Amino acid sequence: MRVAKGTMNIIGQILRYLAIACLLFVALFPYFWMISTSFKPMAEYFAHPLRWLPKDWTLQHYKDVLNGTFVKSFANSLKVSLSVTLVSIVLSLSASHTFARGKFPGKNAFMLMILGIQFLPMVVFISPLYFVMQRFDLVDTLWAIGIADIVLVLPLSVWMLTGYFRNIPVELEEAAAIDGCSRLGVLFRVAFPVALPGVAATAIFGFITTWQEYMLASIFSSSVASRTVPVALAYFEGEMFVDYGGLMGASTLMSLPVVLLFIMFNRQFQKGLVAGAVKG
Amino acid sequence: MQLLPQVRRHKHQYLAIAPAMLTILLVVGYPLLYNMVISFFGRGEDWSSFVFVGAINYLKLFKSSSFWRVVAQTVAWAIGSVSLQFALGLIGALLMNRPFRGRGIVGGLMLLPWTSSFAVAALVWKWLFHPQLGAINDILLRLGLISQEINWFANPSTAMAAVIIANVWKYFPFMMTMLLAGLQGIPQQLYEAAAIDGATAWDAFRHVTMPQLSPVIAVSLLLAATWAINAFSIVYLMTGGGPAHTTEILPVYIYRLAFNAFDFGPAAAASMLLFVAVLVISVFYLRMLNREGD
Repeated sequence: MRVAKGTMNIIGQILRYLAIACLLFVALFPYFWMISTSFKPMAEYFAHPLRWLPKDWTLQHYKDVLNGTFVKSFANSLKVSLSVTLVSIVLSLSASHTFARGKFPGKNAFMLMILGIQFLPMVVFISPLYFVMQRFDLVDTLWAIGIADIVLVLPLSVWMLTGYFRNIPVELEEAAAIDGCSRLGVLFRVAFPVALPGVAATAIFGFITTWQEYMLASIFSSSVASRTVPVALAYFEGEMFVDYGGLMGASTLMSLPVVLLFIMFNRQFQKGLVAGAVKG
Repeated sequence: MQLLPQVRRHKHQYLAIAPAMLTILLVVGYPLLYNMVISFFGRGEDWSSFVFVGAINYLKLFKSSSFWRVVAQTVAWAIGSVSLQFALGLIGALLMNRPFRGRGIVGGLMLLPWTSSFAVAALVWKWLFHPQLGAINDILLRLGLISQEINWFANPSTAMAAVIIANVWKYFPFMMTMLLAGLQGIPQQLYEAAAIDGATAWDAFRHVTMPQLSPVIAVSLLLAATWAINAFSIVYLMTGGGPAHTTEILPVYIYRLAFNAFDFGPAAAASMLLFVAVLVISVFYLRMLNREGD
């Protein structure tokens, strides 16, 4: 009996590892295929049977992509994502801290409203935002996209930061107050530094959200001047012909910042996911 | 201006939340209101002039068969996406629950689909589902599961399957992370007590794991469902709503009304309906949660 149990355990273990490997394969295969295609010369796409790894690795697709308008789109996306993230964090800091610590009439209503915004369908915004941007002549500028992205990021930032601030023990702030720290001082000298991992997680979340936003960005940009990366990707699909190599190359490039951020902040990311969704 | 005593007492706090809340009110509230107003207007002589038409936009939607078809498609899409995400996420969470060497890295790698951009996910999966050059057909053929290449985007059912698969791929890590966190919050004593009572692994799963997990499951399902119902980019970029509008979910339908047909009035009306639907679902759900949670 004992031997059988041991064997069962080993079989169980092997099955587990196999299952995990399968899941991992599912998670990573699209990335693998994307990168593999980007290094494959186009002729090899038509090979029968299909090759998974390129036979003749080529950088041609990347050269084409980097010589084209994609670079401008990349720069545009960087500008928008960085500024929207910065603005959102700065705006949310004092609000989140107050929501975390204070008791005042209407607080719950505000928090509920912010939570509710997460459930808003973004399509609700396409018509009105378009008309507003038209009136102020902002269509086809990065301003339009930036302002639209604030709709996405600001409520989320307030929500996440409130959660992180709540996690800081009140005693730390009280001690600072006793030592003569002003209200603002408590925020900047005690709360902010301690919550820095949380602030970082919120910032990264905001960056990633704006980096990948497609719907609003596509409405507001009609030319390369204001095009962001997700919209640029869609342009690789021509009427007659799809430049798959360029598309995969551009996709790889577009994913790089996010993956990099992710690798650097992996643990905060995982915690942030759960905290942001379950808190409250 | 005489301030209410309450406002005066909490002046500092209201000032502190003012920048963020005012911005939110402006950037979120104003367009929302504007959208509600537009929904009662119809097209005038040219595409940028409006005529007040009252509730006609809404009535036209309710009478339109294509609207209801889109609603049905949205429901099918949501149920398919969420249930598969949940299944995959639960399996993943259960697998990852016991420590093993390299678990941290594996966990991180499993999150990669979640970090992908909608555009990247949509277009890479579109390439994967390419009838002749795509890897999916290649794998299915090699495994002998099909004898001929499937033209994924030519049939409504396979096209819907394709977009659902892409969506599930992107979102299952979220479900997995939530469920894993929930699993790790279950006190070990409960399992020990169950073992003493002679419970099998399956019994323990049914009577300890699932009940303990239900609040996390509820929140995750709600979020997943809302994200699915509100989804736009993946479907739009993969199929454009095709073939023949059969993968058109509500947000794509609304977008098409607004920017292809320039029917801003009906588009606004449809989006208000979507908004109300999501609101009702969330409130109903949250109320159910509150009742269970206590």
